[in-house]
Amino acid sequence: MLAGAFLILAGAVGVARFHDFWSRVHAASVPSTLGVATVLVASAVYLSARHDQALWRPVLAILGLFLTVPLGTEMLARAAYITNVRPPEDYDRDDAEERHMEHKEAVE
Amino acid sequence: MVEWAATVAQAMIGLSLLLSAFRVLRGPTVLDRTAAFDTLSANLVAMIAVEAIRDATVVHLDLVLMISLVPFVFSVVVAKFIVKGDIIGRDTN
Repeated sequence: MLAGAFLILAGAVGVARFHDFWSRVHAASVPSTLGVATVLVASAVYLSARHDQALWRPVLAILGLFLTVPLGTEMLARAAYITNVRPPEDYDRDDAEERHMEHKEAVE
Repeated sequence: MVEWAATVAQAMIGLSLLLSAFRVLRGPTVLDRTAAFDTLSANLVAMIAVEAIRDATVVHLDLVLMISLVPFVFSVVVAKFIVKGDIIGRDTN
């Protein structure tokens, strides 16, 4: 539980402090997903020792989070790329550029 | 022991809720706000789970399940609206 809370805090500090969109969207998805999953595992273990039906709801919530959070983040990042939010200049390379251009020509 | 750990965890999660709320209020673009809202709702899920551990009840877990699934719809809707300018488009591709 404490480890999960620390991961969540690290992710939120990243969300608040990073200076460009791409590092922020990374900090928003990756550590908080893992942290919430850790906290939910803790609640599943702790509560199923006390109640009979406490196991399946946190497990379902973890499954749902692992399915939905990367999907939502990916859709947001794609929307950002399509609406011309480019990676900053000091990144080494831009792997998405070529594929994006191909897609754009295909649409036009 | 569990009480103490729950207090510390809730303090950390509460701080991260505040930081995410700061990014939701401030964040320069709509996409920043939406990503931060995803983080905010995930932190809310963790907060409710810690509260369930503290009270040793199972009634909070339904809430956990609901809140973990709903914000996905929100971010998908925002992303579609920004890309296409339309949520339920006439063309399906």
